[in-house]
Amino acid sequence: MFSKTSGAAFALVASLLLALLGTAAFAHVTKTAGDGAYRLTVGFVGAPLYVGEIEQVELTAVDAAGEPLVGLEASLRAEIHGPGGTVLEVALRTVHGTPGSYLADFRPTQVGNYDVRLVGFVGASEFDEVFSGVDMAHSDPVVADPAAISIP
Amino acid sequence: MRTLRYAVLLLATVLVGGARAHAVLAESSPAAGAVLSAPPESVVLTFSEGVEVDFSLFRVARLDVDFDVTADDAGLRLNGLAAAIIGPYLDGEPGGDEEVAVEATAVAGSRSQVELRFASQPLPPGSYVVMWRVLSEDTHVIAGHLVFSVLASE
Repeated sequence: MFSKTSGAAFALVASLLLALLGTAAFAHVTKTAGDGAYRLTVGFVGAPLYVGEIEQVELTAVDAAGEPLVGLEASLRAEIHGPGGTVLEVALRTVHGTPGSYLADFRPTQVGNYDVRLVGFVGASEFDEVFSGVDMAHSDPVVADPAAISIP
Repeated sequence: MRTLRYAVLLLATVLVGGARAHAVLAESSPAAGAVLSAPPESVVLTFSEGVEVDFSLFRVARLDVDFDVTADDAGLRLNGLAAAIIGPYLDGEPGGDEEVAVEATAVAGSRSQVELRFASQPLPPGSYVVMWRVLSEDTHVIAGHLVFSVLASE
């Protein structure tokens, strides 16, 4: 069907695309909004998470047709809920060249569990959901002590 | 010509998709989220660097709003409604029943400024979303939106 050359070229292009387009989100949780009209997927970029590191929450939003949902940076507030009832509001920012994707930075300072809450509106629907950090990171606690991997 | 513009914009989007630095909206008149007592004749967008108006897309739509636009959460609600239509509008496939396209002409101002002049004056009271996908002079493509509302005169 395909010549060896075209097969190799296809594999090369596919590899390059994967390298360019792939993101580092390893686990995520999806919730729906607007009676299933929209899907919001949230995860941590680069789990496992460690105390003292700047971590990122990634939100990917699509409509029922799978098309990216843009503009949510102005309609949703993101909160990081940390140990001891601490809450940090973080700004969602768009990801240039990736419509429907958003990032928010935070820096955990304690070992423990951290959840992400999104509050606001998607389409005409109110949205208020908590995304479990344990489910997203597949780790309990979500944020670990880096001592075990520190050297020297 | 229109097809060529879309093609150039799409090509630029693909080629510079991974770029980090890019222009942003520096300011606008009316400001994002503004609630106006009188309708504006146009919207002026000022970007952080020069933009190519002929190879950029601008769209305006009136949102179907049934809540108080001066309420505390009105900004989030308006932007939620806007989020549902921005993609289809900028992709040239507006199909929603709950918003109305508003005809506006984009006119280049200074290097980094674009004025969107509404074809119909005055703009009726209501809430509007202004959407853009802009080719900046450094070939980066940026997309964005803002909402504003015009109150009915008493």
